[in-house]
Amino acid sequence: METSDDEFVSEEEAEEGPALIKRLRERLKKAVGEKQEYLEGWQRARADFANYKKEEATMHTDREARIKAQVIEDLLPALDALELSLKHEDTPALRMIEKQFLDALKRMGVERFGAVGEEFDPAIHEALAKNGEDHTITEIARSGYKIDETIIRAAQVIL
Amino acid sequence: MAKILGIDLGTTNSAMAIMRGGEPQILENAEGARTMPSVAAVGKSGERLVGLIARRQAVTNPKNTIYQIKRFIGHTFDEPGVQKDAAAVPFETRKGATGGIEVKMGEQWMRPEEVSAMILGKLKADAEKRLGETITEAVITVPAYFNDAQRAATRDAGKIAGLEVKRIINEPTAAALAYGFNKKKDEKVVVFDFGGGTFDISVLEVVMAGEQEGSIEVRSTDGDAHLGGKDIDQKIIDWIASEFQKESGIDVRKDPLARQRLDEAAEKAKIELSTASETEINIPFITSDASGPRHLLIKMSRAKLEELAAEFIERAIAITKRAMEASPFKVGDINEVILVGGQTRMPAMQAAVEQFFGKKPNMSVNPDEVVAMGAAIQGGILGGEVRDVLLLDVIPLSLGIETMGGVATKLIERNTTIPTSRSQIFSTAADNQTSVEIHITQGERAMAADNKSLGKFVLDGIPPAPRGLPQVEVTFDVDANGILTVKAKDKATNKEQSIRIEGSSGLSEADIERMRKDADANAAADKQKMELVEARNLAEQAVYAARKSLTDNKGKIPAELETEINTKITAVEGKKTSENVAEIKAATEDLSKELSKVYEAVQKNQTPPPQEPGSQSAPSDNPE
Repeated sequence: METSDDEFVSEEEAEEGPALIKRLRERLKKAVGEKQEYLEGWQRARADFANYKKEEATMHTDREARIKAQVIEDLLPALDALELSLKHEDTPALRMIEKQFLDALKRMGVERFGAVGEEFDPAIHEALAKNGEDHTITEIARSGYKIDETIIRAAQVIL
Repeated sequence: MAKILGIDLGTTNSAMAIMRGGEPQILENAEGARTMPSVAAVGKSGERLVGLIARRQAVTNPKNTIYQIKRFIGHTFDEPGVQKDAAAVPFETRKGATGGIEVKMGEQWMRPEEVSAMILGKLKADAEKRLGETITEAVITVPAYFNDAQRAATRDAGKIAGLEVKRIINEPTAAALAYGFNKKKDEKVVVFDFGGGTFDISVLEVVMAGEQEGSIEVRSTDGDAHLGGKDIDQKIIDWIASEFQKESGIDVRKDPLARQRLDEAAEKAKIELSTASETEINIPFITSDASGPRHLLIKMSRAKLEELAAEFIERAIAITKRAMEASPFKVGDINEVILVGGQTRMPAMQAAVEQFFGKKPNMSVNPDEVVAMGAAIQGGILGGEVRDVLLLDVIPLSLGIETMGGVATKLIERNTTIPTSRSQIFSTAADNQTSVEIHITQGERAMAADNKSLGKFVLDGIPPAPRGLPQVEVTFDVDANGILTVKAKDKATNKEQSIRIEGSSGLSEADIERMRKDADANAAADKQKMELVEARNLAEQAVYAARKSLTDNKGKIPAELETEINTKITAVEGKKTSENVAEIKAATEDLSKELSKVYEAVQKNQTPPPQEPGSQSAPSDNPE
């Protein structure tokens, strides 16, 4: 930082006693004030940096999980179509393809969820329609998927 | 000092941001999303639900799921607009004791500020969870047209949520802050905000008060509370459905399952058409009839989307014209146009804005997040964080030293924030070298000769040793004023030498720009040169290692191997001055292969393999 000359206390010959003390006190007050301001700024910057580092460390693990979830989410429409086609025509070949798909996802920690008869839970289910008074799922419109405990996509259900 | 949370409390979605290291940063909510639906509900068992979870259960619980509460906040029940909005929502509304509006959620009648407080409360809790500290203060944004009652009610909502609202600011003002317009003199800025459900246009003026940062004043504002991206989505859905109906005779809009898939496909198509000129809407098994399952496969062009969206864009431009006429400025006076709201990503909308104002609109800050970021900046200004106690500068060009083969080895990369200090260990290039010359260079080019020379000094008194063994630590230190001090220290003797360079940042903007352009233009040629130098350096090292190995292991290796190695050494030496990188590399590799046989031979003789000198001085580029 630049320091200007007036920040130094020069000895002015004419000045002595109370006047000098007064001037020095003022300088000191100013300096203490500035010190506090700079100290706070510096502490804040240090804290920001420490927090940033911590966050970056968690973000790194997060990021990996996110990229995985994103890739899987993009693949899900194809799996949905497969699931729907099974509803229309349940052939052994289609079943085998679906199983391959789901097995591969399972190895990555991805699980399908949502089943008829379950109690509706907005944390994991998205309701598309409600026909009865009951809060029980009567139809799965689209399965949900989660990776560990993170929901990639809520299950779309009908009550 | 605790942080002040910046909150964009929207009609459809809300977002929050905070200042971090002098920059606004969006905070993700507990579900990991950057925006949250502005929806609140009371669930079946009386639990309060907010955000995505509330929206997911909306159809099971329409009477107790409150959305778009912003349309009601601060209004009286009898206003015609309120009556119209109330008729369009599935939840119950009534006139409160003071003439205000109340909505029913569960068994309770609530004022709109209480519902908004639920949304703010969730944002507060999620922010606290993410930051690991308590948040008690906030800056909340409201539309520029909000009156005092609406602003007061929004402030109350904050209070109910346990937040001290340090300031309520206008959404367009927040957007302008996020673009840093408070720092520019005499700017006239238009904020074009086309959101999910509402359209707002504001004309702003930055007013400078002395040397202080400017205050941003709203000169005119206009809008349509029922015009937004949702209208365009609906048009797309209708078009897809009618195309499908033409072909199949089935109206899929009546089936809630098909409708859901159609909604998602329409939004996806709209987003894709912002970058692609054509997209395919592909919904297998959308429905079925007597003939079996039916699939929907329709191509949609950007031109079609623009045709569908045209009426909404025209309406927005007409309102914009009205707002300009109500302001004291002419269209030509406007310096900047900022786009806010995800829908402004549509190229046709940008083109319409550009045509009206005669200049390219600015959307360099994410249009979904810009308002929350501006609120965070306002929070930072109020909390004293943005006031620059420390103005941190960066070095404009890389700093480094010249190493073996004339290579410029960078120690501090350009754009590094100062003050900073970096050091690296170097070594000698020749046996028994007792001094090293430290030549300091500045610039982005690969070879030292192409960069600016800042100074030179010599560190001598290095004890004689094989090349690569001495450790010379070179430290670059740039202080807050950009003054560079370079120090070289021999780790063995602790002898050191240094130089202070004041003019390292004394370059004009034009010089810096020219040097950067130069580096870009010569990048390919420089890379080739670097490769050649590296190959030559490696060749030289291989020859050195081979000769040393022959001396060290004299008598321990078969004579024919020795002859072979000597032949290869001659071959490498012959190629060393060649301009052909591949040739040098091939000869070096040949020699290295032959050399590995020496170790095998010596191993057989039960002698431990000799250690290569200087192999532990890891980053050892050798100064000449």
